[in-house]
Amino acid sequence: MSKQTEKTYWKSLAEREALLDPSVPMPSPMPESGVFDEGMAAGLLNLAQSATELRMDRGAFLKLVGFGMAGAALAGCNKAAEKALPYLVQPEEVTPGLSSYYATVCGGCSAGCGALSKTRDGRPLKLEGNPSHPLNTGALCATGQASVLGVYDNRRLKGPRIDGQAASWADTDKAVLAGLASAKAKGGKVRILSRSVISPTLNAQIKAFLAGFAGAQHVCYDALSVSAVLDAHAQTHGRRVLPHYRLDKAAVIVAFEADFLGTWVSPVEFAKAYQAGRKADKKDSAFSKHFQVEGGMTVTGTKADKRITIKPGEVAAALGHLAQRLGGPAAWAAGASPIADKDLDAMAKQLAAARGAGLVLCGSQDLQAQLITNWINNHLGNYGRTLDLRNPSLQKQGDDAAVAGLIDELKKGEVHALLVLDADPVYDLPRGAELAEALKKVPLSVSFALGDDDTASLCKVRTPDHHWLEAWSDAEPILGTVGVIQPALRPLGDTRQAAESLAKWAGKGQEALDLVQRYWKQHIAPKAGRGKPFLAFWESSLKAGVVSTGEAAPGAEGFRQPAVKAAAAAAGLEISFFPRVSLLDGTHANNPWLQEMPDPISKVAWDQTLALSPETAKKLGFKEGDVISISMEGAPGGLTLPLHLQAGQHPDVVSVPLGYGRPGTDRFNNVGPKWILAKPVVEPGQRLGSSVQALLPVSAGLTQFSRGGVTLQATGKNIELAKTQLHQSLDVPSNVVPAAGPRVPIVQELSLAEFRQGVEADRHEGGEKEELGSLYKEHEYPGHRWAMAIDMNACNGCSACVVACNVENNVPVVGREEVRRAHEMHWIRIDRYYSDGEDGDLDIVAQPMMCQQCGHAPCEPVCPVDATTHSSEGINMQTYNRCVGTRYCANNCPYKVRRFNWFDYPALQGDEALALNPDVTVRTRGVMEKCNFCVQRVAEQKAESKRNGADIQDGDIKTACQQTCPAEAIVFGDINDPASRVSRLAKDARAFKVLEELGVRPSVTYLAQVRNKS
Amino acid sequence: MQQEHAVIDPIDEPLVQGNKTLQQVTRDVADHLDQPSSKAWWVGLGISASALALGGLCILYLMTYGIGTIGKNKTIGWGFLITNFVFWVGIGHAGTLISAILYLLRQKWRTSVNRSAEAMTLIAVMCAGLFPLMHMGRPWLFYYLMPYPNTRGSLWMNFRSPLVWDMLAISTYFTVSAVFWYLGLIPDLATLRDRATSKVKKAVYTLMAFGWNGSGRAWHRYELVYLILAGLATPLVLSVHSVVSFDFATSLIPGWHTTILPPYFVAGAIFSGFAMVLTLMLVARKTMHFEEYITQRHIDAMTKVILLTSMLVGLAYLSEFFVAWYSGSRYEQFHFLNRFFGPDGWWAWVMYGCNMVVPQVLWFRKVRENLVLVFIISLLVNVGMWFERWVIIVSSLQADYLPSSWNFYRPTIFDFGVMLGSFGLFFTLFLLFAKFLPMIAIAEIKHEVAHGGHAIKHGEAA
Repeated sequence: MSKQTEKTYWKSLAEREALLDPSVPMPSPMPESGVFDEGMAAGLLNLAQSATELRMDRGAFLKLVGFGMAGAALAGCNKAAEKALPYLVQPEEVTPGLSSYYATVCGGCSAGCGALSKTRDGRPLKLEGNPSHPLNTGALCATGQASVLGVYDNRRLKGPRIDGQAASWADTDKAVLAGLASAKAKGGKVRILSRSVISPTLNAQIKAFLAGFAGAQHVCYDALSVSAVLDAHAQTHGRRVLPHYRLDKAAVIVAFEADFLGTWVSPVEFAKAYQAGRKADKKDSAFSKHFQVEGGMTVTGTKADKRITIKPGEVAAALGHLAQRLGGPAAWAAGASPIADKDLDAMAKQLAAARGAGLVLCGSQDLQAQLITNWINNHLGNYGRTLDLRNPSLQKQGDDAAVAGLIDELKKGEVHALLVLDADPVYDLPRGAELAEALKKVPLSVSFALGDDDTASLCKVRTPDHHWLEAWSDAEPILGTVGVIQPALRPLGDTRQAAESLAKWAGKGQEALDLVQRYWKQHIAPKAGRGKPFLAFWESSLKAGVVSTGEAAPGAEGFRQPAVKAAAAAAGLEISFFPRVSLLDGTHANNPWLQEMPDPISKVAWDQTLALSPETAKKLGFKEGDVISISMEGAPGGLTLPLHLQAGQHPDVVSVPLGYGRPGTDRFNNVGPKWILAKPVVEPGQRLGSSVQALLPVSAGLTQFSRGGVTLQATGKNIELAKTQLHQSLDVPSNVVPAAGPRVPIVQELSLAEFRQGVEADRHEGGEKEELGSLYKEHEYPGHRWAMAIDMNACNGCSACVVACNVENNVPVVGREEVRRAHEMHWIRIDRYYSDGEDGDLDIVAQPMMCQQCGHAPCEPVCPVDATTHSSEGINMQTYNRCVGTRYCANNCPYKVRRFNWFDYPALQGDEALALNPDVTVRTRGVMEKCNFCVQRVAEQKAESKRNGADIQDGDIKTACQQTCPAEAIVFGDINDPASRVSRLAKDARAFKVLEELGVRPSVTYLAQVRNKS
Repeated sequence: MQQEHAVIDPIDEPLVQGNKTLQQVTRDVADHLDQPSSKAWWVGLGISASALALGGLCILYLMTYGIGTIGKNKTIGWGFLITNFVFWVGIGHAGTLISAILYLLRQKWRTSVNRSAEAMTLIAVMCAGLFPLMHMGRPWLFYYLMPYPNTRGSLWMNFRSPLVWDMLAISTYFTVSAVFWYLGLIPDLATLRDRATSKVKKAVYTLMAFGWNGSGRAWHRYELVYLILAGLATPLVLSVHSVVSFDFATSLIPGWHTTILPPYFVAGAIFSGFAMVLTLMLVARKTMHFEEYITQRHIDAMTKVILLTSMLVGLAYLSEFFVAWYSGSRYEQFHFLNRFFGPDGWWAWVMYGCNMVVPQVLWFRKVRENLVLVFIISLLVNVGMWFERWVIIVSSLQADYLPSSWNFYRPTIFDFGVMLGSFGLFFTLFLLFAKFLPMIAIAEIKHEVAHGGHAIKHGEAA
């Protein structure tokens, strides 16, 4: 060591003194912090609130001083006085500023996808799919991505209540126990009503609890019921189960009214598996053939190789005809086929040719249709291959008939105690109003709901459950695959987990962790533990998040020929009630991210619409946005909704989304900027949209999602829908067709035959070589150069990436009026284009569009203040605090991916601000923003590899959109590395770039859509 | 019979009619400055100031709540505000063109109108200057666009950005125009000083006249500086709108990305500037009884300039269509078709109708001599030119490359309010100018009157 380096440098006189004299204490490098608060979460809440207030003050302050010269001097003095909350003893696994990932299971719906909760400083920030979970291998849907906000929902109950009054847990328990005792004494019925429960531990607790009462029952329902599938299997296979559909093993998929990529049963898993079966990576790779038969337009329909429209009421007839062509009874094919013979023949031929590798899916709630579906699948030997009954799905266990029975019992006043668990039956069920009325007769009604919903507010006792991010639990979506749920933060309120409550009331008061561990010790460890000591097994399970127990149901019994009653389809308009990709059954309807997510098909955000085919609308004299009053035969009241013209809709089908009119949506009164022309999303106290549940007919005990006898009547009003895309086609309007042709060449498609013959996607002639020289020095990328590849063949438009990006990048929600004014802030969007295919089909493509990180970025030179610049790694960066907001860059962007903060949009409000990503700046009013390839993730990984001394490996860095994509359509990586996936994809036969001919050198490669037209 | 003493050009009609003596000239121009204001002036000021106040409130609201109060969106980042900016900058061309270029070209007829035209230029550039400031997302950081010393590693603006060129070009133009205008005012200010009766007026005009004594040396220096400034201002007239056009020409948006824009914009600016001068002069001539100073000959000259520039912009328009067709670029071709036949095609029809077709009637002497018609045409030209900028900016942006992003502009009351405010500002300042400063260059007119003395007298020959 040289002499120079031994020199000690002092930074202050005090330090110098200390250096010279050891008795003088060394001055603290950090300012002394005052407060230590043991309640970390509570403290953080306060901090977040004060920060929100502070931000407002500071914003207003800056605005004021910005105009005055004297203000400049004052601005420097505006230092916030914040209270720091240091750890007294730093927990071992916590490093401030670094995130920990806890394996858990997403509780967004009952699909039970494995998730990782990204947690920092004791609060979960984002959910990501658990890559080790076999169901979703790392992906999550939009709902899953958005559901992290639920934990911070400030409308959650803070503690138990009796008759609407806050009570202590002791009093509450006393009240419940007294009620239960009286039920027992009087011999009254005890019932638990829940949605499908996929937690084995909770199920065990429910069983144990109910065992204490004679004749007690657990009744399950699903708001998006597939009860008919289970009932049909009860008839044909002797077991009331939902098969585990293996789309990855299917060479021919025929789906009837089943939006399996968007909303049906387990869309993430299905999208993964579907994609696995039709990868266009190699010329000879297998590529499934997909027929979609449906009435409305779904994301699944957009991916189909052949899409056929029929009315929902015709599904059974169509299936009957299909079965008949495959050798089924002629009686099933009574009447005319709703599907053209040519298509039926093609379907039958391909299914028959793919024996054992075909799969017929039916999402209809018509039992007859399900029975025929089972017959076809059985006839073609698909059971055991593409439909797994030995490891069935437990994701939907609901029994519509049982629920109907329960409501009847309630109405008769036979039920003494009703416990409503993870469910809002008053909203969800078609007979919700009856249930609400009957609930008054129940002496003891208990709700475990987290906050107010339509059922909970009618229940006498409220024992709020933990949010699943606060809970210890488990989930078994597929028999034999068990995920573990562990808390990501301490409960924010004085809540108690339902399983704990049930155990307590059953007389075995135990903590949730003990309950889960005890169950796992008894039931899971023996099967999955491979002889490891329990604690070691538990630790490893917690880490992995999922275990396989190898459990399987006994082999299926022989197929019983079903007795099918051939149904005749009714004529006239039919209404179809469908789940929107963003809202599903409406459980998360109060989540602003999901409401602002444009529907993948209609591109409508916020609004509940009525979809009708343009032809029918023309015939009826309606135009887009007309407010239509719908009346239905035999339905109480009606509906009044604005019209959305939907290409590809069956001419006789009217589609209306479910999930609206949910309790809690009144909060959206507060969303969006406040100014003189602002229009709130909902009026104070009103709900967003109308609930259509009461309009769902119940036929043979099964909740139906369509009904006939529909008449439409214009009300004379017209509103502008909050659509994020106004022009729907790649073809320019027919009156302005340029000489170069009508189609804007930004999307490329290949038929499977072309792809197999080696036809390549069109590239711009000459590529970059033919460009003229530049006056400026070319950018150099000495290290990495980040790039992306997007497989349009894989993307189904599900928009999980949109929400993931919102969560990751603190993208604000702006509200309906701002979306109408085209002020939405999404950094990534899914462009959806319709075109008329050669075979007369409507071909639809989804093109994810985000900043293309151009090598010759048109936005960069035009910024007058150098706020947008090129990084040495090829990322087009945006410096928010430099931006003055001329919007020149946005104008000059040919992809129109830049987003501007037109107002001071609050990123998240109230406690929800805790979910903000601390790695990403919250932008203020007047600055431009856009996708930056999740530069914070790149930086994090670079720091990580620097620490480890290892190079960044391909795939180490995943952008938020890529990470969550169920179809694995997005690949991010270093294009300077010739071996990286993105480099290879950039040279793929299907590779093309959007608007390459402009010479802007986009870094994003798109891979052409392939359709199996054989 | 009144003694005729017409000021006449050796080969053409007299520049000033009515056989003015030098004293008469002073009185005609300066007398009203000493008199109480007319009712019409008060009404005009009332309306203009109200519009300004309304616009001011809109601007205040806009600044407080954000630029989202204006009808722009993710696709159309510029709209009303930038249209108004380009419109006013265009208007601001005529004054300096008249005073500098026509001065150098020895076009003596300019003397009657150059003062007002220059004032109009300055006011129009002030109006224009408001808009870029207002349209910024964070206007309080406007100084980021200026090259000032700072502690950010001396982070300056991006010299590659046309907006920076804009800022430099317009501020230079404004400075030179203002100095040029003020210089021309000095002898007249001295005249006002000398005839001022009230003490306040005397003091103010004395201060403003910079001690002008009318000596031969003063006149010599004055003439020299005036010539130099005219020489300096001349290239600026051409550069300002060329630079403004770079905002569009250097981008890659179909309808913007075209090399013809600089001359196209300059021609358009002269076109609209002259139309605006004509509009104002026709009103001033009537209300302030300047018929003998602003004669049919002036009007004729200005309408002919309008006719010429109308054909120049027409040529530019047609070249654009040709280039779009010839380029083979589908986006360009689509843009021009969409401009005419798209959902907002009527904008283009207004633009082409007012700018290319309407001025053609000026070929007829009868039309040029019908002042009502000329007034209407001048207004239509201004409407047309406003729409030209609107079409270029908004119709180009609203449907560029990706159909998914095509959108529409949805103006709010604030769009209109701010625009109204800019007209309010323009007319308020112009009315104040008319009230407190000589609208016609007294000294220059006197020069013409004095030199016209030994020319042939019209009328008496007969």
